[in-house]
Amino acid sequence: MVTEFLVFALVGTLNAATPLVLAGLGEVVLERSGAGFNLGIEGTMLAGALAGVLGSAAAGPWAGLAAGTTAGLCFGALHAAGLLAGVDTVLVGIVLTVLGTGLTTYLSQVLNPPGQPALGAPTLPVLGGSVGAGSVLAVGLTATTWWMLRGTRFGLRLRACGDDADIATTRGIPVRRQRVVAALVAGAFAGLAGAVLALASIGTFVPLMTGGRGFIALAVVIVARRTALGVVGGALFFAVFDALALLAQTYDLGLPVEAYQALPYLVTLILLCLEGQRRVRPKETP
Amino acid sequence: MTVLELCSASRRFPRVQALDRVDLAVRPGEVHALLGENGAGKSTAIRILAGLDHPDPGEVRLDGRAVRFASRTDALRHGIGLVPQTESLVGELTLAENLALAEPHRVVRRRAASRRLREAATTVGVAVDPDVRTRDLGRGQRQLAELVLALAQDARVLLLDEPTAALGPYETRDMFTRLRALAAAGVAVLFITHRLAEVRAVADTVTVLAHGRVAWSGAGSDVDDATLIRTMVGDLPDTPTREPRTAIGAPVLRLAAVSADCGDPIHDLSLDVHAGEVVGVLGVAGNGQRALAEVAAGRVRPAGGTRTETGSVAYVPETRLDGLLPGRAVRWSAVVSRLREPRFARRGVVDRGAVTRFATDLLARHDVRPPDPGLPVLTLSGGNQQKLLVGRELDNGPAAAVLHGPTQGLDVRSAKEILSEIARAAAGGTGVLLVSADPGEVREVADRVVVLSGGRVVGEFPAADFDDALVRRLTAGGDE
Repeated sequence: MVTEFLVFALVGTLNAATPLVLAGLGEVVLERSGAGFNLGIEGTMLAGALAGVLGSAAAGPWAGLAAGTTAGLCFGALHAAGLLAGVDTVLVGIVLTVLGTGLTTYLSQVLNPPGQPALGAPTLPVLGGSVGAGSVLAVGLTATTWWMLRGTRFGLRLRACGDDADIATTRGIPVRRQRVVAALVAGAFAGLAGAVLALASIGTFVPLMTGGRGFIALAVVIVARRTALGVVGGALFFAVFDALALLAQTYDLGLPVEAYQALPYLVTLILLCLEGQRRVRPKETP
Repeated sequence: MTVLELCSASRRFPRVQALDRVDLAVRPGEVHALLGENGAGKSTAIRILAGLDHPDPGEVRLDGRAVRFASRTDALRHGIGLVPQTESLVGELTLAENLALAEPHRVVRRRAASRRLREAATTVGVAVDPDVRTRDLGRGQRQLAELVLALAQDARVLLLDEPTAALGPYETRDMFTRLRALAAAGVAVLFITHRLAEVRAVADTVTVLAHGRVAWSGAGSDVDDATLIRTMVGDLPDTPTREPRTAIGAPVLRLAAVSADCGDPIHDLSLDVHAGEVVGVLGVAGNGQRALAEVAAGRVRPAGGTRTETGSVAYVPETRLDGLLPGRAVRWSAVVSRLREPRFARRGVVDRGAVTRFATDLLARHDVRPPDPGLPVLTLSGGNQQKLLVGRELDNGPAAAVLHGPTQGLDVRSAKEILSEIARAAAGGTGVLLVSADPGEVREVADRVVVLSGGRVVGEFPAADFDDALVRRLTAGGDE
């Protein structure tokens, strides 16, 4: 009983962490380029989730992941267009989230009526067992992003743009181009995160199924201090509470189910307050 | 044997001829000083040589052939390195990563970059760790790191725009040792300065620019200081004969042994400003001016010592937009520091009419143009923004006023108007502390002069004793 519970908790945590890691990595890339932050992750993930389900139903689970990524890339392109047009980053993000929410809710009613058979996520054999491809991808992409940021000229240029755009410009770095690429990457990652979320959990699309995870991904990036490796730690931490909320529906954990469901959001709030405290702590001399 | 030269290069900007048929040549193994006052065209000349600007008309020649660099990066490919006045190192990255930014390899070759930087550092005898984030280096170290970076990119010409502006005396001497080492290694070095002492310390050749023209050029050993100063600043205008102010009263602002940081620290500094007196603070920028102004104005609490004021203290900060509301209508900037006065509010609601009437009046009194309180502050020229700020601060006869570089960047006419505002305030009994980089204006308006160096007062004398010899000593950086 206890062992079974722990196994479920572990698997649940990994599953819940995967979309947060993927969306968080994209956000790290975007923020390190100095292009602001992406409040549109939530909407992009929803678009990725719907596209993932549709793609998977049409041509198999791998096509689902590809379709989710592509949908995210389209949202990333909108974000990039907003950057180029000089629109405020908060506005662009809100527009993307509203667009993603409305569009997917509408399209899912037209294209993906409820009651369809549940789809599965692609799996890969790892150490004799089978593991969701999303989690394997998340591990691989974490390593890639980490290396990209410190081991490639592209990554260094990206960080230069985020550090000081004026200096980057005098050093001959095309700041706008770097940021456009970053926005596309961030969109694609968020779309993939959405597809993994939909396929690896219930295997179908439900309107608003992301339940604020796009915003939790933003919180993860803040706690992770905008590093790729930090995102994994932050995502796992948040995912524990997400998994608890899920388990509370099956097991009697003492408190009402609703309390556990509120837990991830409560923890987010507390962590962000602590992080904020750290930031505003006054310096010794003004 | 010339590597890089300007041939009869001119460059005109709106309202000013920055360069007028300038010839300038740099040779390998030589340290060449480009001397001149602010606005003499030094930076324009260096920007053109570095590929950041183009002469019009005129040309840049490299190894005797006319060239046109597309960018700074392009110039660098031809072996011309620039150490700009403002930093160009990415602070988040290490020096090795800064080098990798500019290299053709897509994958960073960290070890190779570090090795090349170490080699370059050895050439000039600097110990620079290529694997430390450049933000964590000291100011002097960063300046040397820029030099090493240019060298590691195979620069054979090094252009330095006021490399010592941000450095203390010790770091400056160190920088000069490196420049000599570079020249000894066969690099052509051209650096901008406006301090005569630096020319004497390091340069083989001197070119003096004045008003965009070459006023003198030749070997440093062929010319005496007096000639250089005369060619650089022209004949100094006569000191206007001014009655010494007689109505100087009791102290209105006292600093007793104050210390503060602000990135530009002052130590144990004591200074009194009396009613009706103008105290000028002179010295090379970066010697504590900012901390002194901020502490005197009461914006920063000193870490040690005490500050006493007897009444309101007006403040005109170094960056004028810090004291204004840049994007909003002029009327709000005109009253922002005294919105609490009952005349501007009725039962806690701002009385727009009263604000507008007051602002219109203020603009007229201080000759701010155009006198329209509804225009955004940013649409005013710099001179009028400054008149607005100075006018607002001095308008209601504060007990004391702190002005930091109030005429910086202004044209002659606006500068004169600001100075007469200051004189008028002092005549009305305000004690003025004028922090300035311009000995000329201090001489014009101050009663007493203090010289600031390394965050301490190193000299104090009545303005009557403030003669050309002193200007020379200050200009020459002999105050260190």
